[in-house]
Amino acid sequence: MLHAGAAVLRTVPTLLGVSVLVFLIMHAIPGDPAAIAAGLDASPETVAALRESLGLNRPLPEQFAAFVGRVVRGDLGMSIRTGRPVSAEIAARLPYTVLLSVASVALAALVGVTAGVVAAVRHQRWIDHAVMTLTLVAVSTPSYWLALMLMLLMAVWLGWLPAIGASTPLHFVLPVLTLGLQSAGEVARMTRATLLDVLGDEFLRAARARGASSRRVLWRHALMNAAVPITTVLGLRIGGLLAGTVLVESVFAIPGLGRMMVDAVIARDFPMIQGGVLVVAASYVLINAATDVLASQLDPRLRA
Amino acid sequence: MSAAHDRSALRRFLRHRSAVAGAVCLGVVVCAAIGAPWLAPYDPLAVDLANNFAGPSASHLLGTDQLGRDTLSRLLFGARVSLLLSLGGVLAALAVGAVLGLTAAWAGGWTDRAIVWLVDVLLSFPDILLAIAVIAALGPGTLSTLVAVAAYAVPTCARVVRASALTAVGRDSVVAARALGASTPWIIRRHVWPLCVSPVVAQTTVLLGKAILVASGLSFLGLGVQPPDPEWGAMLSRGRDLTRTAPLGAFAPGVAITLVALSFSLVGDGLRDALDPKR
Repeated sequence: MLHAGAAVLRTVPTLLGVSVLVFLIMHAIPGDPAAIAAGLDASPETVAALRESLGLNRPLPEQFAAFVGRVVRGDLGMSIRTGRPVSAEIAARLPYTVLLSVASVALAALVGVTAGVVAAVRHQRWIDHAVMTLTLVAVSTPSYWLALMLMLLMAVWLGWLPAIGASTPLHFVLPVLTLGLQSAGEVARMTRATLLDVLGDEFLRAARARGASSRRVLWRHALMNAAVPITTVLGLRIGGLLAGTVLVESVFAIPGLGRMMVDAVIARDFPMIQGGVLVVAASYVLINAATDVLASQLDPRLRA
Repeated sequence: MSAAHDRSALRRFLRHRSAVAGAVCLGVVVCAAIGAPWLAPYDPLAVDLANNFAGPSASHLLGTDQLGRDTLSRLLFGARVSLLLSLGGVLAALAVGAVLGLTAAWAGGWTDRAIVWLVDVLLSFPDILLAIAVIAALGPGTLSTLVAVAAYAVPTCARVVRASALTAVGRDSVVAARALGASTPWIIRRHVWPLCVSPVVAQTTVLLGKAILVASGLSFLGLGVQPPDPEWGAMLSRGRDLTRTAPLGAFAPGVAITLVALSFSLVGDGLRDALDPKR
């Protein structure tokens, strides 16, 4: 428990830096952010009112202090486009993105660990080469294109699954398949690499010498030792997918957080962009900290 | 680095079959990009509404898009945009990353801690998020995409340079040069940077593949290269319509992106093994 507290405390400097950067998004713009956000045909009065409501006419440090003060209280400001609180907009969109990320990582864990174990056990055989080639192709493929091709095959040609939308569980099959298979590539590579590392270790030879069956050696000893790096990769993937889903959400017209941010960028809805980027980056940092804690629970050697 | 060392590195690289295949593939794409004005059968911007969503035929080998523009011509000209964006972005990132990494490793102490903190902060924006944040500030466009790709690559470059520079700074040759009163820029140029080159070259090549995914992803979302300019990701932004009407038009740009990204990582892996004699 003490360890978990320390892990959260260690994220504070990073989170502070993240909020400075997110705060600066609006202030790094060449030109007047209020005028850009208000649009081309806005009257000077509208621009002045927007500048006032965004607090842009106060000194920068004061603005930043106010920004952090509001964020800590959970107030991310008002969306310029919809007029609703940014936090409410995010709360409405977040479930889609979280569902996509978690389901995809679950699929990636299943497929990736299996493929990685098979490749490591059959090291340097054809199946190992096939897995390695496939995983390399998977990580080099743009997710949105894989999504389009799956849509073409399963929805347009075969007609088995709905193409776009998010109204039924069936609508999530193709997006989860896309992101899950792609993430599986990374998981398989990590699983294979760690297993190959561990399989050469002394204690495994000792276990084998004691008469443990090779299956028991693999599943009980080797995989338990590979669990830590695999957990870390999966944790990183969940956090990464909170942003990585944006392209696939776009293909399948899923109203998630990523799609919300892209719409906000196009509409120059700065409070919405800041809120979305901040929530995703902060979640990523915290998920990584949680993964570290989890990894140290799995491996006592990491509990320093 | 001596000529003999270079020759043996080249031999090791040539033994790497997949890396050579990647290099050949990249060579073909670069030639296609340079030769686009002569190779392309049509003007990539020429609209021909009477012939939109056409399937493959003798006059349009890869068919046409929603405005009747020739897909093959757009693919060839798109190679220029996609390659230049990833190359330009990564080189800019390398310049910034090298300064940050060398400064951190050389100065140590609080300077090092501050730079490491900055890199950690930048790495807290997962996947394409930092690139989107840059576009949010600068507005969509080709130049913004270049900056976004650079921002995406900077933390990785800084990390690699710092890590290799740190091992160099501890070496006897550097300690001796310092004791003899050599100037800092001279020591860095003569004794520190040469040790960073190999890991930087390998890592940069891998980054080029990722950069092309980021740049085309931004354009796919409508945040990067704007219409009517041809870019591989932008060509797919109407992909949902294409899958129903002209599947080949949705297929070709994706294959191009995958091949280039894959080739960059194969070449990067090959370079890492070839340039690191310890392995």
